[in-house]
Amino acid sequence: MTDDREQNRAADALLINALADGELDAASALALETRLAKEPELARRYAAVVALRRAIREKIQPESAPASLRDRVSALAEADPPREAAPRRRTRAWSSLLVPALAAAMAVGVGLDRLWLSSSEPDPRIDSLVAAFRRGQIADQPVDVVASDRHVVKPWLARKLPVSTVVVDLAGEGFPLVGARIDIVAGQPAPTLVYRRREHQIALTELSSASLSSARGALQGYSSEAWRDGDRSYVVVSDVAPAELALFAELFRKAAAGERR
Amino acid sequence: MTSETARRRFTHEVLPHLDDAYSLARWLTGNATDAEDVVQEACLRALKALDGALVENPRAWLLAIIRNTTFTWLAKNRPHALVLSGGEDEARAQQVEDFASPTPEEELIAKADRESVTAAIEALPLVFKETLVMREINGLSYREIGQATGAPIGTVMSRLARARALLVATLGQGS
Repeated sequence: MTDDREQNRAADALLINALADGELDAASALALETRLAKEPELARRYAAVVALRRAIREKIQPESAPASLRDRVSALAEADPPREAAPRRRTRAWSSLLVPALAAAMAVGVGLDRLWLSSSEPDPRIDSLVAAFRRGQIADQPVDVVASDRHVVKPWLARKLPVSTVVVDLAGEGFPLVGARIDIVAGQPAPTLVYRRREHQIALTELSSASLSSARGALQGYSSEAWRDGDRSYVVVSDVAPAELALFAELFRKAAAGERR
Repeated sequence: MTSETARRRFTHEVLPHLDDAYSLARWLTGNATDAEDVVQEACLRALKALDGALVENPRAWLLAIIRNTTFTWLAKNRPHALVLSGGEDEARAQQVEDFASPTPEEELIAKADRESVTAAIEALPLVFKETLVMREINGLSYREIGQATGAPIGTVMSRLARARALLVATLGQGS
């Protein structure tokens, strides 16, 4: 008798936890919710689990890996680069990219002076921004501040960073602003604006050094484009088609130039 | 010696989950310096493994490596902390749940501060702690926790239920 009661109690514990975690299918969730309405003791135990989850979420801040650790671990991926194998592979990759890139550039009326393909190693900073973009896609929330209004985003960034960031509104052109986050690039914090194009995200990062070469590339199915503007460099990363990314970059450059005047 | 493919996969499949990896190591080892050592060691293992491994869920896969590296590390450096069987602890968790508190735990839990929540999680036996952290801090699903810990889903569920029963008992009793 007591054993039965204990077993039922243990089984109920699994059920209320699974409901709180959203792991029950609709039919089981419905059955449990009906019981919760009728059994105050069970409802009390369920409320405690829900309260506990909320307390952990509100009081325990997720921790980021320290920048020094991130740098050390990133360096693992850069050790002993295979010098002979790389160039052959790269030539093939770039030449297969050239035709669609040219077509894309002409399709959206991008000046050919922009279409400067890098012949050097892909910049590790772009690699890390593609990784940040993927992380943003995996996370429930790709940004640290959610705001479609640039007059909210810009002051938020100004509070976090010592430099002023250019934030432009491109909603009229079909690229609404989602918000912003801070990415760590080569150990330095860098402002990243996230825009939306239909279901896709476009992440635009401003780097304070002008050392990044202009380049357009494709990494792991993601498009990227980098350009310089005075003493700043910009990198956009997205899963939209390269032509749309080129259009976005062009619109951003125009709007940013207008902003500064 | 690792191949270019392994390094590229490392950049795209491992690096995006570094914060999750660090958080888990931080909770399991209990301090930041040890967590950094564990993460670096685990990343080396991950890089070596990427040459041949077929990885379906990189995040659960990386956290499994973090977990195993942590346990190896604990066995070497703090053998008394490493209690994996959990039989006794599970019995204790069961008893603790039977304490009926007169005040609804819900309100007391909501009033708990950050220090007491942290301390309560840190005091959990290791098997419960890792399950709870993977669920609440890393946001893994039951299935993913099963992949990362090598435990069947029923075990994941009962460990999680018992971890929470212990926390409710600690935070919901008042002081």
